[in-house]
Amino acid sequence: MTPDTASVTPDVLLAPLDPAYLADENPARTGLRWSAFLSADALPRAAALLLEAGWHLEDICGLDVREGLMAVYHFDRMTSPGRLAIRVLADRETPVLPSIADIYQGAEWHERETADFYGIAFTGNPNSMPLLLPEGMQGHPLLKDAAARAPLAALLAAQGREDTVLRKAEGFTLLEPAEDAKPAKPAKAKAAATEEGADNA
Amino acid sequence: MHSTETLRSHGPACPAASADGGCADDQIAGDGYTCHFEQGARPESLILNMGPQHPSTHGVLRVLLELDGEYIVRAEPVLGYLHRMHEKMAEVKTPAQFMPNMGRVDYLHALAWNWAYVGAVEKLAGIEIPERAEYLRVITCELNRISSHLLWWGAYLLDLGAFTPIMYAFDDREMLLDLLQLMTGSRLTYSSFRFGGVYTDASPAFVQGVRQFVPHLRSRLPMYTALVTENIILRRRIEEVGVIPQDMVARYGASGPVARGSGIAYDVRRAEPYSVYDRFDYEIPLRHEECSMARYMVRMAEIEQSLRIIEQAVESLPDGEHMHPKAPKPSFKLPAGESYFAVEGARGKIGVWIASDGGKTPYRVKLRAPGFSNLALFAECARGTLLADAVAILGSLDMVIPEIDR
Amino acid sequence: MAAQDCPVRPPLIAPATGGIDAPIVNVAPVQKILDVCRAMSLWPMTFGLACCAIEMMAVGMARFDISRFGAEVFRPSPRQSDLMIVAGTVTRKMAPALVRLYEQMPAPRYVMALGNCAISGGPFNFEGQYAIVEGVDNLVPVDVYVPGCPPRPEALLEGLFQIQHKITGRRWWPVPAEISGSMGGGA
Repeated sequence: MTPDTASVTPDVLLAPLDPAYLADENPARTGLRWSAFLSADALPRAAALLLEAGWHLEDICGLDVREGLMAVYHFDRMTSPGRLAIRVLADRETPVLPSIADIYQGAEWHERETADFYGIAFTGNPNSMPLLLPEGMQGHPLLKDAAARAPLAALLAAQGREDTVLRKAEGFTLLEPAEDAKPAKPAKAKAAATEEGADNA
Repeated sequence: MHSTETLRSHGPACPAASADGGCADDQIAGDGYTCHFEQGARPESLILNMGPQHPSTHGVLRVLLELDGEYIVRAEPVLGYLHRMHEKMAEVKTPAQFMPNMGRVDYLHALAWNWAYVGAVEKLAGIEIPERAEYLRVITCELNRISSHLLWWGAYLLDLGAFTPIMYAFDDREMLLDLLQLMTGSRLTYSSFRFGGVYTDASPAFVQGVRQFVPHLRSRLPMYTALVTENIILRRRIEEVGVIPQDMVARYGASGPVARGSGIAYDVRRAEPYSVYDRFDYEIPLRHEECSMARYMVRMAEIEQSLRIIEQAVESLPDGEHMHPKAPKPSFKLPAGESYFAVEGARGKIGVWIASDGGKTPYRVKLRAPGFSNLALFAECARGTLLADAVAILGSLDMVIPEIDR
Repeated sequence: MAAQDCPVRPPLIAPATGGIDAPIVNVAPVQKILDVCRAMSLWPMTFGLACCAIEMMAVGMARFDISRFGAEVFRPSPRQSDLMIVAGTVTRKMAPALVRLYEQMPAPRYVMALGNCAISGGPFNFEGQYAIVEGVDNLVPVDVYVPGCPPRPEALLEGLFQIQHKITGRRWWPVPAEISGSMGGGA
């Protein structure tokens, strides 16, 4: 990491990768300083650029939304703090994302945990054994019932974020509010049964 | 009465698994993790299984080791023996119902996890906290940090073979626990933070007790230094053992004393300031030797710095409420949105990320445990070290397995 | 290691096997004396799994001092211990190891379920749980249950007294007096 890369902000750093979405965020509202949506192919290159610029990986978490299975990567910098959230969407039928464990070795465990909970396969991850779940356990515990899934916009594009969009690709609709703006909750009569059903793997 | 479900004994990755899930090769002993680990082993190595039950007090950690005599060729921690489904519970319980879980994630610094969750909820919902409550949170969290470091210190020395320091550490810790019991109602798994303040106000007995405790512990620290820190046996065992260079810290996302022992001056209280920490005068201990001794010295110095913060906070404790009058009722619903709140725990940077769609329960809660990232570097750090040094390195990482397994 | 030691034959989660044989020569007064000796020098196994383990450690330290009652020799090896204090949550991943350790303990052996997790799964016993065993008595026979989350060290000591009562047939230590009035705060 050279002194000039240390002060480069993510919007400049990630620009060559043509992110579908990049925004300045308000840390007082969301705890994030920047957020971005990347395609799965751009992820390893982004990780390499971030490591070189002195960013460390805080965590990788999965998210089960209507649009598919999303992996959210949180990065931060020790020298000039400010959190970056990179979101990558994977297809629900065959959720595959590239692993960044060859760049950030700490990602190996985060990816295995996300694979345990959501079934996302990270190609290139050196260890395929389950991390937290007993081996041989069937199912992925944090997947949601179809009726309980929310659209991504309900979670990440809510009112009061005070963010500024820096770039948005043509045709990027992930953060557009869904046509039915109500939260994705089933009718009251079935609410209790569905909550239990949502817990079954 | 008992469950007779037949889990497949080996995961799909095991090369010896037969079609019905049994063990194809009768001579292979051990489970799927052992089989998987043995695949890459050299024929002349010894495969040793450390844990999940072993005398170290770190909890249920299992480490598979490939040994060449006494030297570790390869190490692989196996997790999940204490996976208690915290993130799943967060999605089925309301925010108030989930609070007690936070005391159990890392029971040694429970109040830091309390703070991380409460902070994330308060940030998302825009809940304000009275100033007195901020000070009470600081005081109790720093007292908890001291109790965590004292237990780490005693347990570390117990691992290394010294039986006396843990007795003294627990003696001081018991005084601390009595004080925290006045504020939280329990000895260990605190969940005394509330959305909008803290559970109870500081009684005069508590303030008096803290004022007596700080000089008492200060007077004990020189004895610990003289008898233990400067002990030649300890120094030979942990100096230059378990070198973690700065680039390893970055690649694994390590934080806390693990990073500060390697010369990286990163503390969430300074980097992402929260609460009233900026009003107090304290240092962030930093060492550059990158070895276990450096991490040890950082934690011992942190005890002193925590005492400084507590002293200043108690002296300047403002009057007021311990709960905000407009604090929400326990049945409140989170508004839609996301928030990430980070706190400096005894082990490093604790993070809680909440994503909510406005429903009764949060949609997703991610618990970012510092121990998870810190332990991940053990495999790389322990390569080429002696087996006895592996114990010294594990102790210097200060892990609490429940926060790693969540 | 022999194939029959392989712990992964299904079903993975099954209760422990093995009973306790009757003594070869059964002379009642001698048995009574041996029982008292045994009860006054129980050697617990360090089986701290989670938070309750910290209270178990505290009970071994100077303030609560389990060595007054003879049980301070915590042995890591099951072969050398006669009391397994299950202190913490038992997950399904850990269950085979727990059963195996119990079976390795020589008889007569006793089990204390310390804390709510060991009794019933505790706070982690919720609708839809997938990872824990709801009470260690699904796996091994339990002699005494000590509730609490975590139980105070005094509660652990009381559990120890109950085991001693079970072994010898009588309680040896005074019953603590009830404290009347409000809590003074601290002990």
